Amino acid sequence: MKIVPIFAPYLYAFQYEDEEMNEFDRLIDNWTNILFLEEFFVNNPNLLVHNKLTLDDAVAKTTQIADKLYKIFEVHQKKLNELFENLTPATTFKNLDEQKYKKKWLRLYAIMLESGHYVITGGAIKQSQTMEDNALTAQELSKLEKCQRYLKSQGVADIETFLELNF
Amino acid sequence: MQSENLKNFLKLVSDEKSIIHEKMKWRQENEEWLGKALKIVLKVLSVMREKKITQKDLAELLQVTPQRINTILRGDENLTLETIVKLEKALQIEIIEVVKATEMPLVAKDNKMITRNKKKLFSYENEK
Repeated sequence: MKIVPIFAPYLYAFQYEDEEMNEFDRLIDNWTNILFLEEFFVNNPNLLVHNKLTLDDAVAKTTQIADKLYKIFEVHQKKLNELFENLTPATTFKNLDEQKYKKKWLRLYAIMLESGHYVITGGAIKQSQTMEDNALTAQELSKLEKCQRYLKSQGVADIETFLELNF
Repeated sequence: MQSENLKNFLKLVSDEKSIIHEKMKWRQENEEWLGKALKIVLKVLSVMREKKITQKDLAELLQVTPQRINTILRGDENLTLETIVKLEKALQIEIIEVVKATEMPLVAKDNKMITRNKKKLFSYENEK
């Protein structure tokens, strides 16, 4: 497991053993990759039906939001506290504003190291409020916990805050 | 002032650099045409799915490497007209249709009535 600087000293990302890229690079790259997105939406038709989107519109929407998301990080890297929302693993997003949450499309998960300093552990295109979403959430929470255990084992102790960014 | 926590964390950070910045800088510099490229690639992908053409097949049809096809289909290439026409021929489809110029007759030199659209001129003359 590696940690790669993205916008140092504010934003970092984990890179897992089985991945060629760190999580931030991998997600932004996928979300701006037409080939990946077309395949993804063909394999997740529920997402299109649920959001009343055509495949082409969903691909275009994802790339546009990913471009904006990157730009926000680039411009506001010193104000990351304003971007991330608290995530309570046990309640799986019920603490978030329901309407606001429903409209969001892309998610990033992170651990706060201290105020303004974060490390990305994963992320996903938002699924519908169904089993897929729950399965994905469980997978992402498992990654968060794995990263937390790793950091604790390396002497980074005070890391209880899990966060998500919905965009 | 860094906390002990952050200091310990920074010791774990690798020397590797993020590679996404270069791609995103390129996307920002080329945002004007990326939307059109996306539509072209989606059209190509839909026909490939319909006709069950793989990336390898397309590479052979275009006589380019599979890596080049991958770059095109990811949307990471500024497609030239030459490449688009090659894709059209390989897939037997029309990707780009140029919008016709104005259909109204124009008054040219010596008051001659001309048009860029022959059919429209005939109908205009009939109306007179």
